[in-house]
This record gives sequence, structure tokens and C-alpha cells, in this order.
Amino acid sequence: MIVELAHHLYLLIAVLGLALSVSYGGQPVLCQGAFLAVGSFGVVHLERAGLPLVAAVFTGAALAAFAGYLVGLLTARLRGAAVALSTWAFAWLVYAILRAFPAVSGGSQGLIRPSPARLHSQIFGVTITLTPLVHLAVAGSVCLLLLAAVARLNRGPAGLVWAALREAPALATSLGVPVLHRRAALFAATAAVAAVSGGGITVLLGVAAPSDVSPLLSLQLFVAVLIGGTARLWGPVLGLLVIAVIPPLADSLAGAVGLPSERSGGVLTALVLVAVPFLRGPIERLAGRWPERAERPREPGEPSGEFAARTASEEGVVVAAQGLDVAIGETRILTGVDLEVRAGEIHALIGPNGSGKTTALRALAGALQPTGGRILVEATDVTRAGQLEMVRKGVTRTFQRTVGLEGLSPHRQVLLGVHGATPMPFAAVRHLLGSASVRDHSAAADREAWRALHLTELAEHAFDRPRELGAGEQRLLQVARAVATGARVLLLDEPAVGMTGPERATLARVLRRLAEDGTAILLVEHDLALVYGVADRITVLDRGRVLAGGTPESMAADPAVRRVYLGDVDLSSAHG
Amino acid sequence: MSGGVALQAFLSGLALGTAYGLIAMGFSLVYRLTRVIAFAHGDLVIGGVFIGVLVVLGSTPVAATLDVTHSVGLAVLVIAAGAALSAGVYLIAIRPFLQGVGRQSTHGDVLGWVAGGLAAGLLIREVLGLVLTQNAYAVPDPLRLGRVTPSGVLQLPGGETVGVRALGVMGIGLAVGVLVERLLVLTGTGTAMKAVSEDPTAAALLGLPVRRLVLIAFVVAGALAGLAGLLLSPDRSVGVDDGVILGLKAIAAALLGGLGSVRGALAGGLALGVIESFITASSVLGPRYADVVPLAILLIVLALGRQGQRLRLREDPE
Amino acid sequence: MALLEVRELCAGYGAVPVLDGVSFHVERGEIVALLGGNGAGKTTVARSVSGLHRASSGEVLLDGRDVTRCGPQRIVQWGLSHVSDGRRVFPSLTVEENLALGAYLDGRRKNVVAERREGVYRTFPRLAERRTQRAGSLSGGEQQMLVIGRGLMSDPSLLVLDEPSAGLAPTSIAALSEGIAAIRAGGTAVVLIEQHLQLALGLADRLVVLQGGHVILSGRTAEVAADPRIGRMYFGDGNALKS
Repeated sequence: MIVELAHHLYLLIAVLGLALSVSYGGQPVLCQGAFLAVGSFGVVHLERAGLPLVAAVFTGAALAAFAGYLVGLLTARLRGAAVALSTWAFAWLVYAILRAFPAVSGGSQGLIRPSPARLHSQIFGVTITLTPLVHLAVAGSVCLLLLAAVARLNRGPAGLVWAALREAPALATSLGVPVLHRRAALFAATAAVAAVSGGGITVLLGVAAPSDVSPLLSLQLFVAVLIGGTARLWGPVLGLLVIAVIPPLADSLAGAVGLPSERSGGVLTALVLVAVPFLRGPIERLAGRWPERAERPREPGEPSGEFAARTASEEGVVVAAQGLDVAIGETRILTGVDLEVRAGEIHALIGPNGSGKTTALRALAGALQPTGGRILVEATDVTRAGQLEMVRKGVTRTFQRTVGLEGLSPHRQVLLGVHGATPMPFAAVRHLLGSASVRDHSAAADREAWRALHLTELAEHAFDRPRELGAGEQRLLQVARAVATGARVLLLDEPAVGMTGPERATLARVLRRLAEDGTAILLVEHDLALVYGVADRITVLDRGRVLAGGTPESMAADPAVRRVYLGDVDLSSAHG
Repeated sequence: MSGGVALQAFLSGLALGTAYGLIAMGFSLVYRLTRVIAFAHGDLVIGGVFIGVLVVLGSTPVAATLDVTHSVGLAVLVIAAGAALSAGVYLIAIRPFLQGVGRQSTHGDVLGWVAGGLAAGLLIREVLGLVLTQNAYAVPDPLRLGRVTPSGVLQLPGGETVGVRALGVMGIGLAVGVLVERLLVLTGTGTAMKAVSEDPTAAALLGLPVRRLVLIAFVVAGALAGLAGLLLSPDRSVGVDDGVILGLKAIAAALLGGLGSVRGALAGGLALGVIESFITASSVLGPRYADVVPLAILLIVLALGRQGQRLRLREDPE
Repeated sequence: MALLEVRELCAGYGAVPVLDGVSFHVERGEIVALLGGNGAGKTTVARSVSGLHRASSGEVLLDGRDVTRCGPQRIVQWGLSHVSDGRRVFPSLTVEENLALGAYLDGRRKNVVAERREGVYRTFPRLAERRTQRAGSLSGGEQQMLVIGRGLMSDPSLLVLDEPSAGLAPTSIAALSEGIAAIRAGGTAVVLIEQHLQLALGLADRLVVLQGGHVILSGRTAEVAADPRIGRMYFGDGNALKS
């Protein structure tokens, strides 16, 4: 009985580890059993090689973390469904290896752990016999530690990054979060925790057998995590209940109708797996109380210090495109586009639909590789820089569509921008240990976030639920997140879409304020009233080429511009 | 490896690969229309075979010799069971999560249909496993390809032999594969399917019956899987759990052939079959690598393959 | 009875409302241009009318029949054809195959289909020259003609065109304009969603102007075009219009 309970607690460890990738990272990972196997068989082999038990468990975890990081990097670019396929294939690959190589796995009997179930420490001079009760205590404490650590991380910057990873990876990249590496790191943590769980189970049972770490286990652990869903505390516990209840329930059901019991466990798992997607809505509604209301950090009084320097105003060109060519596949989108954005200036990029405005903006942000020409930030050539590097250099863009982070208050969303652009090495580890430097960093980040909120007139909505914001405020929030990265250059893609008249006036005010602060703004916009009201300079694109450029007054009068952009309206014909 | 052994490995590899190709064709067809990764596709193969055998023999499988009526019945049943299972998996476990008219999976509830497909496959395996408790069974061959010549083998130059059955499998499989591929190119339904795969929204706006076309694709895919099971299973003893790896190998074949291309899937299947056959025949690697290498190929192609970009296996950068 | 009657239409995506009580109507054989800035809800109107998007409330009557809850297949059968934006040809199929798919619901009546196809070729002669070419290899203007022609293959009484001029060269726009005029001359009514003001004003009998999911203006083209709000929307100020 105690052995069973300890076994289930060890499996709960694996569930908690898997939740990191699935519930927090948003990746459907179906190979937790394989990482468990690395721990299980790793511990036996390492112990046979002469390592003490504790060292063997940690080495196994490190190996699994390495393997997890690799698998994570390989799958990081894939869509969710393809991630599920890769990890499912990985689970079967590991299982196939275990079955094909008895030297590794001990065949169907498995590997018997040779050493006695005892821990001996020469330093402390104590010997602990690993009774099931000790296992229970160890597994229980690891579970509690994990729960506490994840809860703590989730409240800090790591939680912001996780929310962005699972809800809006493209947005995360645009704010400077290295999405691929964060995903791989979560994967590594998931794998390491699984290996600890596998090692524990092997020591508890005294044997590591392939059938105990089959892909069916991977599926069951995945089901457990899905049931837990986004519910922080009781979710995993519910998941554990499923793991614990399925085998005995299957046994008794099978016994009742006289069918073999090994199979009925799988049938139940399948039924639960089918039920979960249907149940997810209600589960999430139950768990989805708005969590941010409880914590409303006060706005700090003192002005921003360490981050403010980055927006220092400077005259001259901040970002420039020279002879930019962009092609997507066979289609040429931009041809020889020259563009300069100066500090403190609002430069509007206009043109009919399909003229290449958004493409130009994406190329400047590093999201698209140009096929020709150069992009300069100040005097440095950054043509080949990626999006992350551009954010570090102070060039940040927004999206045409509203990208939301449903679960985060505007204040936290803006903080994500701050943390994305000024990451702290090993921030998660330092945050866990509560180091003082992290506290200073967070305080400064918080001030920076409030600065961005004030600049964009969102301070009073800082803790509103995102879906309760108006369309205009949602659009301003996009700008605020970009401002929070400390950008010297903002590339804004149709920020006024969906805004009402008064909201457009607010936007114009915000843009002017940002420009006066020294920010260079490239504004792609269809609303010419807004453009003429706010822009210092206008460039007109037509079918991928610069048609004209100059002041708003000269552009409004330019007949070529009127013809291409407005279709040369001759109202006399309409009146007649 | 001597020349004779190599030729033998090549021919039996082509036979194996034909079966893989048929499974992969169905997978690719379904993927093309819906962008759904059919996780239960391999289980349709084994599910079709065992359902057919259980119904025809009325008992757990034995390598019995069947009379003509039972042979025909078994062949038809296996293929029909594959098609019915496929349609059932689509209607129950996948379609509820593809929302909207003419939407492809990239817009729907991904977790829903992934979980649905996995669960459907698991359910097929485990329900069959309740009845079929052994690890593996010998399955009768309704096509009786082995008895075309008295010895059942053909002498190859170099002293080795190859089963007549292997050649029959290749012939039937390739003929059906090519026929289906041609039908998809030449018929109106095939053109309509192509339209749905290229732009389901535009297709729906023209009044094309998108949902029915998708259902037809799943039925065709299931029938092809059933046929593959019919060709494959009498050569080896099969267990209810074999479907998953079979399915994953077919996905690897589909990826090798350029995911979404039905013709490519058949070619990819042949390539993978030959690779596997040479691995098995090789004195260095041997049969134990027969599953390991194709799965590794699948992972590598998924992670690094260029076709991922084109066919939306990769995440949109926007 | 109006051919198309839209009453108090409300629609949105998820929790985001896009249309907030849109009403307008289209008579037989007329061209109605739907104008408005990006995000005003023009495309959502088109999607709701053609059954691609489910309206949250309101009514759409096509020829007196309530089609608010119908799918696209039924709506196409009843005579509304929606040509969505973005020139969505089926690139690997030929021009002829693309057109044939437009008449899928009448696919068995081969001579009817052939007759309609010849009609499309008369409207857009350039397509006839390219009938065996793959649609993906056509120029932008030709692709636009192809999707419009494909929409005509179901012999609709109402054609909804979403941004047909986007990204086209001026010469293609002229050809497009002639084509649309020819379609009306053939008795088909057109709802034209356009950013290109000249094209819209030149073709439309009536204008409906959307902003923020509401109809802010509607009426005969000449009357609406004289309203200063149109000028502001497109030119930044009303005066620029008169220069």
C-alpha cells in the first residue's frame, strides 16, 4: 500500500515536470515516459558503473536534461501538432531501442538494481535504509518543492515569458524573448524532472523494465496534465487521482466482465483522453477566475532610472533602409526601397493595399530577410540581424492584428516588454533563490513598465482584465508593450485599426508624446486624417517601390500620389 | 552482402515498401485536405485486418487455409473495415475540433484533434487487445499469392530465392496505388479535393461540399490502409500494438515523399521499405534496427526537413 | 422586394465585436459599393452574407429567403457568389479547371457549364487565351479576373467582390472596371468592397459607408460622395477633395 502510494507520488513528480512544458510552455509533449526511462535505466547503469545512488540520480537527470534540450530545440520551430507527432515518435523510438537492445534494458524482465536499498553518507556518517516510508517522504517533499518552485517562478518574470510562449509566440519574439531557447529550456527541465521520477521509481521497485516506461505511460502522464490544465494547485492532484484510479478501476471492471486487466487500463486511458478536450472548457472556466485582482502592486513614486537612458534623444537617422529588395518565394514584394527614420520624428508609410508597407516594416524589424539592399541602425549594418537582435538594438515593431495575452493584466503585459528587451542571465534560477540583484532588477523593470503605461495613457487601466478593454485601448496596449522594450525606434503597423474618432485623437497624442521623448516612429497607416495630423514626413509606396516622399503638405498636393493612392478621384464625374 | 542477397533484400523491400506507400498515400491525402496529422492511421491497418479475421473466422486468428468465398469475404471485409474505422475516427474524434466551414486544422482546436486521434488509436488497440491477448498472431492470406507457383518461391540469380507472394504484393499494391493517384488527378472529385487542399475557404465559397470531400478522403485513406494490412500481415505475425509503429513509418514515408503529395508518398514508401529491408539483411545492423532507423529518420525529417516550411508543419512566424 | 436585405447585422470574432447593427439593401442589377477604412467591418459583412461567418444577431434575406444561418453551399445555390479578397485562385489547377469548380453544383449539366464558361471568356477575353495555363502562373490582374469569372460560373444574381483592385496595376484596374460594368450589364447585381475610390465611385449606383461596424452614410453615389466625411476618410481633410 505504501509502496503504491510512493509510486504514485513519484509519477506525480513526472506530471508536475510535464506540466512545465504542456501547461506553462503550451507544447503538447508526448514523450515523458521516454525521459522517465532515461532516469530509470540511467540510474541502474550508473550505479553499476560505481556511482553512489544520489550522484547517479543527478547524473541521470543531467543526461535527461541534455536529451530534453536537444529534442526541445529540434521541435521548437514546429507547430503544436507536429510537436505532438515528433515527441510521440521519440517516445516510440526510445521504446523500440529498449526492446531491441536487451543489453541496455535487460529485455522484457528489465534490469534488477543490484545494490541494497540503503543510502550511506561518509561525510555525515549516517546510513538511511530506503524503506517505502522514506520513499514516500522523499517523493512527497520533491512534489511540494516542485509545486512551490513553479508557483514562485510563475509569479515572476518567468511566468510572463511562459504566458507569452503559450499564447502568442510571435508577439514574444517581437518583444525580444528568445522563444526557441526558452522552449528548449522548459523541455530540458521537464526531462530532468522526469528522470528524477524514473530514478525514484526504479529504486523503490528495485527494477527498471521497458514495459513500465512504454508510450502508454507517456499518454497517461499527458492525460493527467491535461486534466490538471491551467489550474495551479488542485490540477496536478486531480491528475494524480486519474493515474492512481485507472489501474485498480480497470482491474475491477475487467474482473467483473472477465476480460484481461492489462488492456482495460488502456481503454480507460483512451476514454479519458477523448473526454478531456470536451471537458477542457468547463475545467478552465472553473479554474479561470481572474487572478490578477488580488495582487495590485502599487505604482512606484520615483522616476525611472537605469532604463531611461536608452531613449535619450539624438538627432539624425536612427534606422535606414537603402535599396531594400524583398521577395517572398518567387514574388517580389519590395524593389529598391529607401527609407530613413529620424529620432524624434514620426515618419508615415502609406500606400494602397498590397503595396508592401507591412513587408517593409517586417524587414526593418528583422522578421524577414531582405534579398538585396542594406538596413542600418545608426551607422551599423544590421541587414542580417534577426528580430531578437533588432529588439536589443532598440528597434521594436507591433502587429497589424491585435495580439492578446488574455491571462495577463496590461501592467504585466507591459512588464513582458521590459523583461524581453533587458533579460537577466539565469533570471529564473536567481528568482528562485531570491537574490537581491533580481529584486533591484524587478523594481527598475516595474518603474519602466509604469513609464510606458503613462506615456500611452493606459496607467488607469493597468489592472483591468484585457478583454474588458476597449478596442482602442487594446491597440494602445500593443504600442505600450513595444515602448516598454525601451525602443528608440517603434515600427507601428496600423495602430489605429478599429479605433473610434476620440481613440484616434488619443493615439495621435501618444505618438506625438513619444516622438517628443526622442523616439523615432515609423507609422504604417491607412487613416490619412491621422497621418496628415501627426506625421512629420510621409513616404508613399506603390507596388513595392517608393513613389514619393516628403512633408504631408507636399504629399497631399502631389498629383502622382493622389492618382495611385486615391485612384485620381474626379468628383465631377460622380456628381454628374 | 552478396549480390544475390542484395537483390533479394531489394525485392522484398519493394514489397514491404508498397504497403508502406499505400498507408502513406492515405495519410498524405488526409493531411493535404485538412492539415490533420492522422495519429490513428497506423491502427486502421491492424484494426482492419483483425476485425476482418475475427468476423470471417469467428475466432482468434490462425493461419488457416480459406476457401474462395471466405477469401473474398475476408479481403473485402478488411478493406471495408479500414474505411469504416477511418470514417468513424474522423467523424467522432477529429471533425468536432475542426470548426467553421472549410477551415483546416491550423485554425481549429489542435489539442482536441491530436488528443482525439491518439485516443482513437489507443482505443482500437486496447479494445482489440481485450479479445486478442497474445503478443502476435499468424493471419491467413486471402489473396493466396503464395500458391501461384507450386514452390511459392522464385529462384533469383545468385542462388537466393524470393517469395512469389512478395512480387504479387508489389504488383497489386502498385497497381492500386497508381490507380488511386490517377483517379485523384483525373476525376472531378479529385480536382475538387485538390481545390479544397489548396484553399478550403475559396472552395467552400464556390459551393463545394467541403465536409463531404474530406469524409471521402478519410474513407479512401482507410480503404488503402486496409489493403496495406491485407498485403502486409500474412507475411509476418502481427500483434495489435504493431499499428503505431506502422503508422509512424508511413508518416516517415509521406514526409520523405514530400508531405501532401500522394504520388510522393508512394515513392517515399518504396524508399523506406527498401531501406528497412537492407537494414534487416545487413550483417552489421540486423533486424533490431528495423524499427529504430525509420523512427530516427522520421524525427530527423520532421525537425530539419525543408518541406516542413511549405506544408505548415512549422509555426507561422507571424 | 430587394435582392439582398441586411437587417441589424451584428457579428464578431470571439469576444471582439466587429459589426454592430449593420443594415443595407441591394436591388436587382445594381452596383452597391461598400466603403470604409481598414477594420471598419466591410469584409466581415461579406463573410456573414455568404455564410462563411455566423452572425451573432440580425438577419440576412436573399431574394426574400432568410439565409442568416445557412452555410455557403446553400447560399451559392440560391444565387449569391462571394469572391473573397486576396485573389484566391487554386494555383496548381488550370484556368479551365478553376472555372469548372465555380460551377461545381451544376457540374453534371456539361453544356450549361460550357456555355457559362464562354460567357466568362467574353467578359474577360484575356482568360480565354490562358485557358490551359496553371492559375498560379497568371499575372495579378489575370488572377483577379479568374476569381471573378469563377464566381460567375454559378450564374449568381448577386456577386460580392471584396477588394478586387488591391495590388493591381492601373491598366489591370481599367480592365477590371470594364469587366464589372459588363457583369452588371448582364443583369447581375454587385456588392463592391473597395479602397480604390475612383473605381467605386465610377461604377456604383449607391454607396454604403461603414465606420467602426456601423453604417454612417448611405445613398445615391453623387449625394454621398459630396459628403465631407468621405473626403476626411480618404484624404485626411475635406478640402483636399476639392483641389
